[in-house]
Amino acid sequence: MAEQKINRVSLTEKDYEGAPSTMCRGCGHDAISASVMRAFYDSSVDPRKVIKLSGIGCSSKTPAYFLSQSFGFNAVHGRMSAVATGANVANHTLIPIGVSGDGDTAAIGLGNFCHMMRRNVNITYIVENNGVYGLTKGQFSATADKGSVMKGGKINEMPALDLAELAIVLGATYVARSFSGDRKQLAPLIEGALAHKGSAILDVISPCVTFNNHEGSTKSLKYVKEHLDPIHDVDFIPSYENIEADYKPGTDHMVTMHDGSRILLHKLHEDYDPTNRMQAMQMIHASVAEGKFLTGLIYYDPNRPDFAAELGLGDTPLAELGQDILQPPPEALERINADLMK
Amino acid sequence: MTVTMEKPKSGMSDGVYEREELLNGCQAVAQGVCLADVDVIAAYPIRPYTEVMDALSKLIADGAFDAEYIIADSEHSQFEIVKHASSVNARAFGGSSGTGWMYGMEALTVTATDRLPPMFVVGNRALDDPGAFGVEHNDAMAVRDLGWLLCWVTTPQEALEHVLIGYRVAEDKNVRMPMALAIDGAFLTHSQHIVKIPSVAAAKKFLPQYDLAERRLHPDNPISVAPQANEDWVMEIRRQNWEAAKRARGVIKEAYKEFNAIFGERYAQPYFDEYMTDDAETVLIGVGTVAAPGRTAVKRLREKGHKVGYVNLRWFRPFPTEELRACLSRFKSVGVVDRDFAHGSPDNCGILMHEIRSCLYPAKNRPAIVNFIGGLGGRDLSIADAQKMFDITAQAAKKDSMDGYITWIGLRE
Repeated sequence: MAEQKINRVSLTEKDYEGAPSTMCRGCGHDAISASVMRAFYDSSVDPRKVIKLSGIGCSSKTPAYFLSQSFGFNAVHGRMSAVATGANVANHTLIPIGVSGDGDTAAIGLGNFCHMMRRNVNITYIVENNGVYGLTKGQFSATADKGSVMKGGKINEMPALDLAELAIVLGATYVARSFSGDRKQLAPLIEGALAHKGSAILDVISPCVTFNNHEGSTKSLKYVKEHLDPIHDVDFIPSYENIEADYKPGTDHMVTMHDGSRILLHKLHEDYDPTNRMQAMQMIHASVAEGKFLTGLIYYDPNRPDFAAELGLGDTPLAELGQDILQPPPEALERINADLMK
Repeated sequence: MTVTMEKPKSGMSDGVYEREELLNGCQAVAQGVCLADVDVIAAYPIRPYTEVMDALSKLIADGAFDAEYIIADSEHSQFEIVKHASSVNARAFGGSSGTGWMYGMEALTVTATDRLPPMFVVGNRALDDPGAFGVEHNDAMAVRDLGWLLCWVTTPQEALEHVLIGYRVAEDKNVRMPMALAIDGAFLTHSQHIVKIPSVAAAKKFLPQYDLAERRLHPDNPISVAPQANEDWVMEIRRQNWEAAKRARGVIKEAYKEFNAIFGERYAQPYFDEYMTDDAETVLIGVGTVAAPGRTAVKRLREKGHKVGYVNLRWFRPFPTEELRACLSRFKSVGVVDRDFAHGSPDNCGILMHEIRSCLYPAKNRPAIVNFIGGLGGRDLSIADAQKMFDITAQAAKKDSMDGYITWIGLRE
């Protein structure tokens, strides 16, 4: 019998699996779950140090289908960002991955989502974006494109909210867009997000095969495939690997992550630098104007400290601090009072 | 008084009813909204209410109905849209279920205190956690102390008719309170019946145009809505809300009289129905679709000679205190069926039980009262369960020690 393949923390691919999926056959969300498992395995993240977060909707069911040994919190509708913020403050040593949908994130949870990014809370936040409320049978969501046709024939008259653009504007420090069916691009983008300290937002277009996969829909499998607009091919290089041989000066762009790992971007567009905020915004606008889905690492800010660092939380998480540290002795109060009397 | 609530008695030939359709509760509500000529609909999906918004969307898309239809970004925004539309004299409609209803609670509270009369359908659903899509009544019950009209129906026909009746009561100048029409999740929202659909002319004859008159928010009528009143006026405003609820009892009576005059003698009593209670000694009382197994059990037990009956309470707010006290005082024992639970309450029982005990406290002939908690989270309440409840209730008439006895029906222990 062949020896089972293991990663750097001696775990097998099976250790990253979850319960069998109950999604519709062919759902993009299952492909994303597969990319999540691939990224965690390849990054050698110990699943027992991970917290999986979600809200309400089809997307928010998917954390049950990967990393069964991890912690989990299924929040109420739209509140995943708030729960993630709380979890992060309580224990910033946990590795958070959140999976939400366009309804959960871009509508009912938009307020919390904005403030999570404003604080740059450390999280890998995947939006499984299909433009509809799938769990309630296909009503338009806030990311449905203007002019897109509902299964029953109704045309959406409202403009779409662009989550990648919003994330850049509101302070997220790692912003990517991808397609559920492109594991080659998505898995390294997730690995990059895991290596990043801060709000990493991945807007993943994930066609709903049951309620939004028809002629006239701009989130159907066929439409999305025909309108993908990748900025670059993406490779993730863990900190322990030497990549000098693959790097092509002039056409490749290297992004170094907080933990020393690197993302190698093989440019497809000329002169694209993901750390250039204005260029990122312009690229999104240009792509939307052409009806395309700009994919890849759109924006990256290596300099902004994450929320835990901003708060100066130290190495030991609040959840693990003992009573002796959390409750100062009476002498401390006396000292403060004495200071005030001076 | 005995009445069966199966089908409208009027035929189609007199022009009161236009056609028959096979509709579930959600679709029937949508037909009611269409006949009420609602101006503004705000919607946000959550099961089981979702099908109401889908049915309305389809009616509009098919050209059968013309209304402003707004998909909101959350229940909270949805309810705010409905409230504000109502304040500018637009007849407005919204709805939700379970946690969605609770998420919009801030908006629901102010809609009542601002004395605006939109209608909301509540597709009753268990509150999270743990997640369940099935019926439970704690969601709608959450507005019972906030100045709302709250009513349960048992069939799609009644659901359609109570959209019209509900607006008629809510918008009356002596009332002006928001209306929550509760329909049991799955058992009513998604079960189909043949529904007779009133003609537009008959609906129009019954339901006058919405007119907020002197309280209409309009540039020609400069008024302030929801000012900060602090301790200066809040007590008086609360009292006004309560006076309106008291007046609503009379308006409800009038509304059914008018409805019966147009649509035939559909409702023998406005606040509740009685089924085979004339010589009954033991009755069950409940709200919503538990009436179906309740009435069937009555029929079967009657065949065996048991003197039993069923009381279906329709209007929960305002509570028909006098009428229900007079009704229930006629029996030896009453079993109250709660599809809800009042956590930490004085008697550790259901909400309906508390209200009925309180209602009967001053009664001269107070029957023995027992309580049943059942059907939570959508669990079935069967005919056999109803028969068991009748049996326990009948025993309570003979044993003083059983007064206030609480049984959880169908609980795995």
